[in-house]
Amino acid sequence: MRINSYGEKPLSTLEMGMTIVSMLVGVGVLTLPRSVATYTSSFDGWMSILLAGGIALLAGWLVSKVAVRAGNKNFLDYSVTLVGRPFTYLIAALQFSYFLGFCSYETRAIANISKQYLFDRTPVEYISLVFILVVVYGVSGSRSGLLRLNVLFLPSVLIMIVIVVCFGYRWFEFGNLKPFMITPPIGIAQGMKEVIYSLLGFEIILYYIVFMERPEKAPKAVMSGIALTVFIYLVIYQLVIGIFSNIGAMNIVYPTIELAKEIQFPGNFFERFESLFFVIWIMTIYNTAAMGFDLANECLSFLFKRSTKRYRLLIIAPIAYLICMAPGDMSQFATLGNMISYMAMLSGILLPISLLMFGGKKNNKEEKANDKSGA
Amino acid sequence: MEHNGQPLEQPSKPFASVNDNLAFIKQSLGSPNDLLIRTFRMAEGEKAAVVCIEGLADKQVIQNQVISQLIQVSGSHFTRTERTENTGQMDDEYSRGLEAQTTEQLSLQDMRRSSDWDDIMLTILSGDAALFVEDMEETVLIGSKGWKSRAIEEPQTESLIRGPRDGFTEDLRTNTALIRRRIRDPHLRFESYCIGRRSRKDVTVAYIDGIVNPMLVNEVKRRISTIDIDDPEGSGFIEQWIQDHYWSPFPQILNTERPDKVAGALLQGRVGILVDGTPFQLILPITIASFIQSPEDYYQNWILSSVLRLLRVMAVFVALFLPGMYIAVLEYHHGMLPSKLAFSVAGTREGVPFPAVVETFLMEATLELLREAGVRLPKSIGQTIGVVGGLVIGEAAVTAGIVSPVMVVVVAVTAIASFAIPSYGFAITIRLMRFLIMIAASVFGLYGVVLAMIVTCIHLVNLRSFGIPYTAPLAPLRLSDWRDLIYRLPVIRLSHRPEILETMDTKRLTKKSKRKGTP
Repeated sequence: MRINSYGEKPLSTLEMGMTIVSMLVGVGVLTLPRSVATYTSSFDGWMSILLAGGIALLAGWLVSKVAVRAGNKNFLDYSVTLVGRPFTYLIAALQFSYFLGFCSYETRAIANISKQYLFDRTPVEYISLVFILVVVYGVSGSRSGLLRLNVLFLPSVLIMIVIVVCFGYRWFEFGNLKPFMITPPIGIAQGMKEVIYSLLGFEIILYYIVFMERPEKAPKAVMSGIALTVFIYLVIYQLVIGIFSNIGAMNIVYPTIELAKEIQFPGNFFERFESLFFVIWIMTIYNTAAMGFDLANECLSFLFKRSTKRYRLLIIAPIAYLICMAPGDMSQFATLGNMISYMAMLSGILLPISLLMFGGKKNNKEEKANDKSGA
Repeated sequence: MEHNGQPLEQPSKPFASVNDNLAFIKQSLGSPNDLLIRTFRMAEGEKAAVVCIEGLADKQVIQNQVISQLIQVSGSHFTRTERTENTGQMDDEYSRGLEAQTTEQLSLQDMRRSSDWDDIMLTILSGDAALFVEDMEETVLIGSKGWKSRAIEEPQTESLIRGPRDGFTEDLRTNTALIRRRIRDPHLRFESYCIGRRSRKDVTVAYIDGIVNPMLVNEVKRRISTIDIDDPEGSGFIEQWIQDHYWSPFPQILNTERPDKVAGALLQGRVGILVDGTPFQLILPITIASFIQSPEDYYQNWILSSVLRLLRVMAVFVALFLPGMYIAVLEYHHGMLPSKLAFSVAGTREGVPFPAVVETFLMEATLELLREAGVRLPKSIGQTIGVVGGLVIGEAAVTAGIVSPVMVVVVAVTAIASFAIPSYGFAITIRLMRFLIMIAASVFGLYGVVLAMIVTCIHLVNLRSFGIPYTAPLAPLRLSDWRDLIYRLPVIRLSHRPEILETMDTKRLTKKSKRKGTP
């Protein structure tokens, strides 16, 4: 039966902002307080978070400028007009592996954390297999449906954060935050690096801008998304430090989940809130993973133009599962995370921004040409 | 033309001879015994016959308004002698005069002429009478529909405390009248279709011109015109034929027995489909929020309705997740229960031979069985099943040590919650999804529950009802439609029709500007 398409405007600016938040808030925030606390002392990590947020805002602004330039064109098609086909193939391959790795990383993280907090016997292999299957199901639907899922899930995640913050303050000790400003700048910088890893992912605007009602608002959407994420990180970080202190946060694997564990509701009608917290958190991690998978599929479709979506998914899914199962232990897993972060820096931020410099002159010429032809 | 037992060919228009016409009708209908034929001579002496189906046509109307009138009244301007002058040829003038005379004499409102046999047959079979007059080229079709139909009663499936008590009946005319009585707008449109290759059912598309998006109406008409089936059974087949995704368990078209619900939907810019022969009429397009809304929400104070809607949302979640959560918590995450509760649950489960999974499936299946049996049973025995079921589920199963009392509580709460959902069709879907979530919970615990929920949400965001995203206005986010979603703002704030329907006329009310100064 034919489906008519009226009644669906593309994403509004607000929805795009929510999509960005869904992408950024993933597994990173669950470990973020620990990695920041490792390099900073007492409460000084806030500077790392804010500075990293500033850098991310700048990068997000630049990347979304590239996206705006591309306009209604797919980013990769736009890139072809700037740097030619061979180099674009390289970009597509890089971004493909980055998005795929991103998806695998999130999946493995889910499996690891589930293993620790939800199951004692179920093997990691099965946990991640089911997750990948659900991701494939999500991606095989319509892409606008996938984006709608972000809008549907984000509020429940935000509600969880609000609950944690509201009930967590019982254990908050102001003394844990003191003394201020004792970390050397090197420590702050190292902390910043960790935070930036958790703020990667706004590159999706390059691909999803075509869904926007008003693409020229993309920078605003991206920047507000990043700003909200930074705010969430800051709130969780100060709560973790206030409750566990810096030393405590350093030694807890998943401080954010432990934060939820501390929560006690009046009347004791519910215990081990962290299970529920994590279960709800799975929804936002799912969004991150699914969008990564979707964009990997998008990049692959550029590389192999004649393939159908079904075949592409069938090819990507096993690869994603293999990557996800590759790390044997936590340290290898961390290495995978670092590799993906470097790739994100390279393919998601540096390359598009360099395209911006490339594209400047050409774009002007094209515009002039268009003006002439229009006149 | 002599009828010698040879089958008659279907002519393009009625025969000149009444006898031939009657023979043809008898032959094509197979001379059924509910076919009423009354032949008589009109006042001028022309032979005439009235044909109708007994039980469908109102015999009083035919007797009083047709036959007695035609027998008594005389005054024909054209006589038979005029015709004999041009023997052999049917005199057009004479025929037309006869028609005019016949139709003038009948004091009937609903009357038309036709010379198309298919039309005549369909009209007779749908309860009207056909009048054949000797030498007249056309047949007079008399609106004499009048069969026994159910009186307007309170809707069985959707009763309200406060609200109108009338419900749709099986009769299409009554139903359209019920809507007309509520909307006296000249722009209210009823467009009729005849659907069903054999059943030839009347289907009416109702909408308000000037409010509704014309693209939506065109799409509805297009989809209805594609229906080619022996008989669209009730409104169900039509619903399933025209909905966007037929493999989805979620209803994408709302069915209702309440005229006020249809009238309200039309005023919002939706389209109604009224089907003859069923009290369940269709409303489209809908979103998932339509299932937790009830017309009562608008009759009551906005605070009460908002709270009640919230309650229904909770009911949906309870009906969907409670048994699954029970399984997940007892089988995988004992720690989530507070220690005191955990002890008491464990205490009651002492001696229960099954794991929680088996226990839950057993009891939920029993409940569904009971519910299905309750629907089938005659009303007088329906009470019995309630008592028996209550005893079996409540008392005996626990005493026999098959299930724990906590399980009974879970099953009972789930059942009550699913009855609180205003839409029956949606409640069935929830019942189905509940079992899926129970399976997911028994394999993967809470993780399984949340994955099942994600899968359901993926399915929902990909659904559309006539092009409208099913999860609107949650996603895509249309904040202005939130005024009448989970909560309902005061009437004065509901100033616009749903944005998602993209109506032609968006404003619903005009606020008088605030008066300046004191009165």
